[in-house]
Amino acid sequence: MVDRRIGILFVAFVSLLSIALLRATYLGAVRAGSLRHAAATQQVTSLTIPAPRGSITDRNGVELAISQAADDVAADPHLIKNAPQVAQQLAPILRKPESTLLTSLTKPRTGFVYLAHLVPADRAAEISKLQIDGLTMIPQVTRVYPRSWAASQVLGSVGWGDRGLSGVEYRYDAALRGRDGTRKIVNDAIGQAISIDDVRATQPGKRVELTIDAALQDELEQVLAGVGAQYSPRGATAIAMDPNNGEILALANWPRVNANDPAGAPSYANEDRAVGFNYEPGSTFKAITVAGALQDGVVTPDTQFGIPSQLQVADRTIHDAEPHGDETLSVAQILKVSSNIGADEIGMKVGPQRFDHWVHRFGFGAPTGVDLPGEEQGIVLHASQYSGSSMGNLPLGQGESVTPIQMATAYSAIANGGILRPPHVVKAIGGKPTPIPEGRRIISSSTAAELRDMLRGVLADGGTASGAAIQGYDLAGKTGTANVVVQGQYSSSAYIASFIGFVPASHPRLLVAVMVDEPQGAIFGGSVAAPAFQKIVGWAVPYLGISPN
Amino acid sequence: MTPAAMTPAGRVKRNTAAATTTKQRSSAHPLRLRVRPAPKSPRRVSGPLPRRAPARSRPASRLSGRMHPVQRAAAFVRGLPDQALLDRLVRGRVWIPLLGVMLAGIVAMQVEVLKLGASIGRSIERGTALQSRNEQLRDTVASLADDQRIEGLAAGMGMVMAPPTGVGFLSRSAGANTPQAIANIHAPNSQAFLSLLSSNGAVTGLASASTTATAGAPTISSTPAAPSSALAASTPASTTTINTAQAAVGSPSQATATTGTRTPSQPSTPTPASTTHAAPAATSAPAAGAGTGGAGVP
Repeated sequence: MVDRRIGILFVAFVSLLSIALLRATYLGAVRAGSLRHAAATQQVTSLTIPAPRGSITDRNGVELAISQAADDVAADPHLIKNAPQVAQQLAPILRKPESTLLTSLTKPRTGFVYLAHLVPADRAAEISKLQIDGLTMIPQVTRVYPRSWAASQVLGSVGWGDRGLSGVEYRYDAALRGRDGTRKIVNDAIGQAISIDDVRATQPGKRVELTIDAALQDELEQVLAGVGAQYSPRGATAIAMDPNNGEILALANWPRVNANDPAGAPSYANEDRAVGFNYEPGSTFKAITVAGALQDGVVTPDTQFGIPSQLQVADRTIHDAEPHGDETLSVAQILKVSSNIGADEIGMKVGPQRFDHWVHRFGFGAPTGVDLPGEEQGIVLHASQYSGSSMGNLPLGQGESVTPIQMATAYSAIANGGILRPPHVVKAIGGKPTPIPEGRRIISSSTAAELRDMLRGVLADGGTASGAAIQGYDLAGKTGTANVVVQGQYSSSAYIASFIGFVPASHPRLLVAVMVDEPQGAIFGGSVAAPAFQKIVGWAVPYLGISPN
Repeated sequence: MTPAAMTPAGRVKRNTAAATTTKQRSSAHPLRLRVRPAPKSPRRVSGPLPRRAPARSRPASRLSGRMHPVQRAAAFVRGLPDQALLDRLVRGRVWIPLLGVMLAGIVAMQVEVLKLGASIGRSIERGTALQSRNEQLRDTVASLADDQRIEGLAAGMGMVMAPPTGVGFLSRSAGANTPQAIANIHAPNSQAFLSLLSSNGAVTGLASASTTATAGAPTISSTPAAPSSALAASTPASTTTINTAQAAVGSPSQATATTGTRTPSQPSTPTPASTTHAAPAATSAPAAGAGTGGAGVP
């Protein structure tokens, strides 16, 4: 009897074990795939953690562009239980109309709908606290420009997918972008995370340090804003450089653009005119003509030229800005009063071939190599393409197109003693200094010194920019007023006023170029651009520690 | 399952059966004695045993020294089951609580690992949150340090930048200017500065101070030394800096225009036209000898 009972128990245990074994085999072998997937989706979550984009700072560490955590908010309409209430709760946080949210939350035949993009982290945290079933927060990174209006065209913008679209953001996209990380989160039965593991660590982008000085940049932008308010030009550009190493200390464009809302400005305003705008330089180009003539030894600063009231070159009649009778001017005086006829006479003395040589020698007709995207190279004819009247207008800055950055670079060579060096806007990447671009000598230091000395006269009494002088400082520069070409003809009403100068004239430490496109009410470089130069330099000299004479 | 033969009843049956079989065998067959053959070796002779030569045993060290270490290890392992100490250890009861404690330890370790995992997860989340907060603070710092914002606040307090043409330089050798320059140097008013801090630099709270400073500007430009003290006495917001800036501008309407927070489209920098108007007042100021040393402000 006992043996029988024991036997029954034995059989029962064996049966139960067999059933358990069969069930385990079924779950482990037949339904293994689906169960593994279910476990993975219900308990293990794998998140892509976007890498923060490297920040962009000025030369003193002031943050110009930083990345902030943000979230895309999405919903599964199937899981939203009380859509009107959810819409009511989310509307003030997402700052969207309740009706819009309700439409999204009740969208039929879909299990995924975006409610908002790039919601700041603090507001996303508020949403998370609501603990609404069916809402998903997708981590993202958003780009923020703390000084919204500062250097916006230089900094550029970032588009969808954290890709740089323009400016430094585009040019140095590879360095600024990091590597996204992967995070595995294991949840318990009630959905609480019991394990968070960074499977692949997020690698942030590198910090890019610019040569820009934020304070000087602000000053340039304020001055241009003043020019814009007074003269209502189509646009204006100002560049401040250290002529000795090619560092761009500030680069401003007008109209200004809010870097946090580039779409809110017209497309032409987003363009960096300093590198992307071709214009005829006008009289600022005379310094190049004179530099070539001095270097070739065909003139000296004291060489006298007879200046008639007008000069006929082929089919063109050249006049000076101010009517005058026959007079005699030295080369220095020609620059001082910006005589068109005198510049032509110097150019003719140099000759077309050598003039063409010097134009290209100063870097015109080719990109400067500045580390900003969208650089134009200008339009410069070769000597073989000259017409009979070319030497009548080329030496005085007509007939060739240049960019503001080309002019600033060429004047830097005059300022630093004859070395043409590509300008640059990035000082270091990831804490590692970028090498200073190598320069090449284009004129001798003595020629450059002679030229600087002559350019002092422009700001002296009787010069075209005498009003731009600053008491106590030794300035040098050149004004420019150029007709704008409209449909193949020089306009008699549209001009480009410009001024390029540096301080101190003997050993320049700061070079400032100002270009104003089609100012209204005044047209001359000496009256439109030179005062802007004066304000910028007047602010900058004590700031940069440049001592007075 | 216990076999039936091993139960007590079975054992009794088995013994009984064995006895019966023996009896049956003895009764069936007569007893046969088995005679052993004589041993081939000679029998032992009585007397004392001859002394055997002692067995030549090899020294243990020498034996083990000849063995390879692996062989020695193998020999040790082979002999391990026969070790008395091991036997005592394995058969001891200490193992029961020891194993229990170890099992409990394993479970506790697993729990701790889970806790640690959760803690690491929380730390990562906290790190992410702090990083996010840090980025927000960096944004705030950069925004607050904006020069244009600070200039806007300063303009609200009546301070404006002197135009480039408004700055003059005096020669050190000009002895007549030295006493005036020295007289123009004032100790900073800490109370005035602290009163500014109490309003946290808010422009709205300083509107009255700004207005007062603006009203006093023309007086300042005429007598550079006196107004600074007068202003300092009249309003805490007025300092020597305000005095010099006002003197440089020299235009009440311009100073009033700069009051308030500036937006990017409304720069507080005087427009070129206003600068032109301001210049004569500013350029006339150096004559009053307000410079300090070589680089004074009129």
